Amino acid sequence: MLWGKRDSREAFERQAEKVFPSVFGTALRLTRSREEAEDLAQEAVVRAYEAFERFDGSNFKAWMLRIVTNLYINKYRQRQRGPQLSSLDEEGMVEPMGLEGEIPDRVLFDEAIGAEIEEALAKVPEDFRLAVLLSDIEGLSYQEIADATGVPIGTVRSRLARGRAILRRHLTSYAMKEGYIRAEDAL
Amino acid sequence: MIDLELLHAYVDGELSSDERQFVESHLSNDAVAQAEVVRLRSLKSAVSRMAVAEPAAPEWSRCVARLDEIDKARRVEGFVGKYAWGLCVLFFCAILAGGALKRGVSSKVHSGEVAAAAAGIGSGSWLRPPSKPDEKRDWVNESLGAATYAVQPDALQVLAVAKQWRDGHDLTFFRLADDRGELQLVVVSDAGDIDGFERMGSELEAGVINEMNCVSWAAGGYSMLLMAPGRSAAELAQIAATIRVQ
Repeated sequence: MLWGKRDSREAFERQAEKVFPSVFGTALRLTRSREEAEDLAQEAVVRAYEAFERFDGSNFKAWMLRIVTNLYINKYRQRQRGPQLSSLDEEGMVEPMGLEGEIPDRVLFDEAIGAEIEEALAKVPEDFRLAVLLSDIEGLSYQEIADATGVPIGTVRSRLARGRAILRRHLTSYAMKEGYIRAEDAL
Repeated sequence: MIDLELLHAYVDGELSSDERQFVESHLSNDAVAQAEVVRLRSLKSAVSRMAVAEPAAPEWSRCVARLDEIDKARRVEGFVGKYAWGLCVLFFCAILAGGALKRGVSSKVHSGEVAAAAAGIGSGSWLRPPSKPDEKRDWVNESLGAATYAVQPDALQVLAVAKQWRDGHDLTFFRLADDRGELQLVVVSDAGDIDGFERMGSELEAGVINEMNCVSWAAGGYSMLLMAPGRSAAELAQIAATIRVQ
């Protein structure tokens, strides 16, 4: 029994160490506070360790991100500041398509560095941001995002589309401010 | 105009094969939608590529330390759970051993306790011996119990006897008298040394109890204490010699 527990600890630690940067990064992008992110990530690791026997063995990273997301939604979100989903109409906003031909976004995205993307991401309302970072940074499928956030797949689709549109707007504003693109080229 | 959410799902590879065919068919005739797909791919790629990877080694180390604590707590809980009965038995034995040890330690007699016991004997507690000499001798011997010492009736007169149980010891008090007045003899069972007494010769110890000089001697687990007001330790030692004759 003792050996079994030791093996279980080693197996958990081996897998958890690999995905911890994603867990911590997600926690940091959600809380936007290094101290709170460490608390959140650590609590997620502890919860995962305690529930490791119930892990179905499929996708450990998605399972850990689901735990950290659930913990954040249930425990940390109320304390957070910044744009919230409730301040926007989730269904109402229409995302415009760009024009054919000129594609300033490509210039913009090539010029933008990590810090600007992080800054723009931080301005995206929380539920949209969560969908974008789980999809585009962590590479989770729609089903895994739906499981992690507790919403239907249709809502995940909608939040991703909205989140990316808002992110693109913030990056465009940044690019115009920095002179990477002209106002008339912007969407 | 095509549903934008479909384009996002197309870029994310989340469409069924029918949906994908529908989107691709639409894209072949819609340059605006094609441009949008390019933008979406570019944005998605930029976010995944440029998002800053946070160094998290110190945070991970602290997580491992926390897991160590959890494992340690689990081991303790497991041990306690598994060996609870054994621990209970061990604890019970420790209590018994402690009690036995206390008994052993308490075999030392404190002079203050003897004094307090002597002072606590009320006048109603003293028993008078029978008047007939034979009955009186038997009564005295019985009162002395297993102390195997005898009071010489021609040297000392037994006036009364009282008994007490105190701190694990049987105490028997004799009020004696000789031609100079009264004396008190205390026989203490299961006793060792008398606390605060100093050695006097090979067998006796001397000290003071209730402001009276006192001599004591021990044998067979009993301590005998002889005390009297206004008598020196040497005088008491001489009287003790008559009591100590078996």
